[in-house]
Amino acid sequence: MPYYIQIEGDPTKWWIAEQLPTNELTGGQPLTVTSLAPIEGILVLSPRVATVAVFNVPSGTPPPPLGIPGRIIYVPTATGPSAGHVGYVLAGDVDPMSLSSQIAAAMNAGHSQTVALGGGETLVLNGATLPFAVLAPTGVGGATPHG
Amino acid sequence: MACHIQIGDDPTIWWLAEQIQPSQLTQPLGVLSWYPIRGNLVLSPKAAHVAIFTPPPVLVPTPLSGPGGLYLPTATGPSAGHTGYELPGTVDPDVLAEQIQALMRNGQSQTITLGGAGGTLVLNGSTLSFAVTSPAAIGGATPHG
Repeated sequence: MPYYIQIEGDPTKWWIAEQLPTNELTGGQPLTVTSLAPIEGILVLSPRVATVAVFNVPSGTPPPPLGIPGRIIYVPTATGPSAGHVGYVLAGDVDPMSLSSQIAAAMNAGHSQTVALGGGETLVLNGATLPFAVLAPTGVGGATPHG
Repeated sequence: MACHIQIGDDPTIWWLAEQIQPSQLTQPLGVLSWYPIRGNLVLSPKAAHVAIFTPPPVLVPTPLSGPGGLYLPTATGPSAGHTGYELPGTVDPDVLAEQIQALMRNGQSQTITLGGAGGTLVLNGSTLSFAVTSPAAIGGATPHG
């Protein structure tokens, strides 16, 4: 069944492939789920997240995902992602899947995680307070919707 | 005496019915909000920062109207037509405010069934900075306190 979630103050409706166990959203381990839209990738959700709203949409279908300029990481914003604004471009040698595991570990431990960005810049994530992050693509050709 | 407060990164300036003191912010606090949403504001002691202002001597503006619901922190604040999540008509906003206050006190989570189009909301009492529960606008709450 199609459904989407909204996380804290970020207005984005994240269409998710797997059903989220609402009783495991907080207080346990970070959750890693497949995001179908607006960014097709992997969404890492912190157990410290303050609020998550889950909506079932029986007759709905996810919108087409936004185009991405390469390997990216999206972190919460006030406006959500949009065409041409899908987050930070990762350095070429950063694997989004590996990074998602590292971010989950940082959330679990409450530690910080430094991420190398394209152009030699650096992004520092605070695992103790970051509510979620989305990494993309998840592989050659991107994520495969299922569920 | 009323006061205005601003909580964390949410840009809203809340008009409260009573003055609150910094010394009260050591435990979850429930206060009556007059504007922009008329309802019960529940404030966590874990809010990153709270600014308390003395209000100007002006009348309280008309609050936003809505179906009755639960406002949670956003980066933009509430606005007409966007006053938070809609609650089922069976939910008493006063009782929900007390439940949220208890969640903040014990750091537990609670799942709430939403009204309107449906859905489920999970609140994490250990990290939620504040919430505002409100009744439906028609025949809404009467300021008191």
